[in-house]
Amino acid sequence: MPDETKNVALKLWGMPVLIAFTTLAGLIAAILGTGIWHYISWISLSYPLYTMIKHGVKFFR
Amino acid sequence: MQTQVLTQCLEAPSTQPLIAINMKANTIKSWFYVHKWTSLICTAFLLLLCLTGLPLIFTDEIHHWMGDDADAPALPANAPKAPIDNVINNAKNHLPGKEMKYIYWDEDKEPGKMFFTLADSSSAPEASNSYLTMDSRTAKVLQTPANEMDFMDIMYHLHVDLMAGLPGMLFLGFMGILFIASLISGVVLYGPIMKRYDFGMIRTEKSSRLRWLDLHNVVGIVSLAWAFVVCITGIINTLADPAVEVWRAGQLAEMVSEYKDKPRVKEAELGPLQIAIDKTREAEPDMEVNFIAFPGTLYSSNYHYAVYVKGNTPLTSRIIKPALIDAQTNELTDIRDLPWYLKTVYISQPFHFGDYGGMPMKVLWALFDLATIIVLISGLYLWVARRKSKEQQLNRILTNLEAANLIK
Repeated sequence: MPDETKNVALKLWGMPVLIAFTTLAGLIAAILGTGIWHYISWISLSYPLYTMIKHGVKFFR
Repeated sequence: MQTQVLTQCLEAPSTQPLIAINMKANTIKSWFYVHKWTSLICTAFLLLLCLTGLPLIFTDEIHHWMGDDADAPALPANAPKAPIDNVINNAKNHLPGKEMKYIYWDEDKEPGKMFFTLADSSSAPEASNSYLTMDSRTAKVLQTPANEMDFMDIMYHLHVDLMAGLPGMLFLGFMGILFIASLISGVVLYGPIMKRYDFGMIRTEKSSRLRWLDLHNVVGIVSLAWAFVVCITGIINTLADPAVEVWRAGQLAEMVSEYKDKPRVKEAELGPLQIAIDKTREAEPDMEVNFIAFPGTLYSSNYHYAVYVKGNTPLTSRIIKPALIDAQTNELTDIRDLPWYLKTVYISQPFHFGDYGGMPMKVLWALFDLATIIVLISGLYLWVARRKSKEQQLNRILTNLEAANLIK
């Protein structure tokens, strides 16, 4: 794959893949245990929502 | 005539070979139609599911807040439990003529309480159920919740079966499948649309349609994984009732095959439940008993106490299994793991309910739910706006045609 294509793919799909991965990690963490696992879950699940709000507010400008 | 989304996609054909980045115009068009039609069909129902699901996330809190649940009187934490057969006797004296169906308890969430279900007969349908909350230490009746629809029951039934029983459930499952198709086609379209833009871009200066499209894209892609998981587990849950029926006809019937020709055990002939529980604990010392189904109910045979045990870690507590104890002789007939399809249903449930990570998870669940509502409404807006612009374009074409005719 040419480097340029790789960069385009990364730029396009990098964030969506990262966010999907974080969401799934957050969903699984809380079922594995309590205590620290719950904190991992809450932080992981907050990241997609934080990203959404960070970009979503531009809608109201 | 193409829509704005499509014209964007069709601009500037690229020479890069990556499929998702460089789709043919016709392919994009097909995916666009999949996205449009699957979404159009399921959006109204998905909106209903999101709106009714929102209060359901907080069912326990809302019941508590509405003052629905009686508090068990404060006793020392080590107060001994009353013998369970005494608790049953008190419950039956409180509701003379009724038969026992189920007993459920959860010492972590509801310490000191046992939730009883009774009915005219143990095999009677849910509509004839009477409920009692009992004190597990004093064996006294704490509360007699009425079997009538309150606000949360209405939310629950709208969410689960549109108040139409099994057909309603299966219909919603089908809407879920359409939603999955809509999510997948949405991701496929995200590629060509966002190809030349930065993640999270929202164009506010151009047209309000682009602004809404960008909102739809960013909120959609960010909540995608959550929506996918909640939708898949929701679809699995719509099959819960048929799954129980398959289990009853298959594994359960096999476990009690020796009893096939016997009549149903009469309530007067039932042995002490305590012995049944003890026998179960003997067979599964590392698991917790938390649910009893009496003979004749949906979750047991006609001749057995089904004593359900579960593991005591967050994951294994979803894996339940019934010990079948002969209700007359109190002998253990059989204990088996549930079949894979019922395990799948029970393991999928927390991932749909969001009830396995405390209050913070419930709040996060509600926020993802709101995000999904934003995606649905912005999608609807885009469809309406697009139709309008199509009309305008048609008018333009007609005007041009008239003008051409005048010149001629």
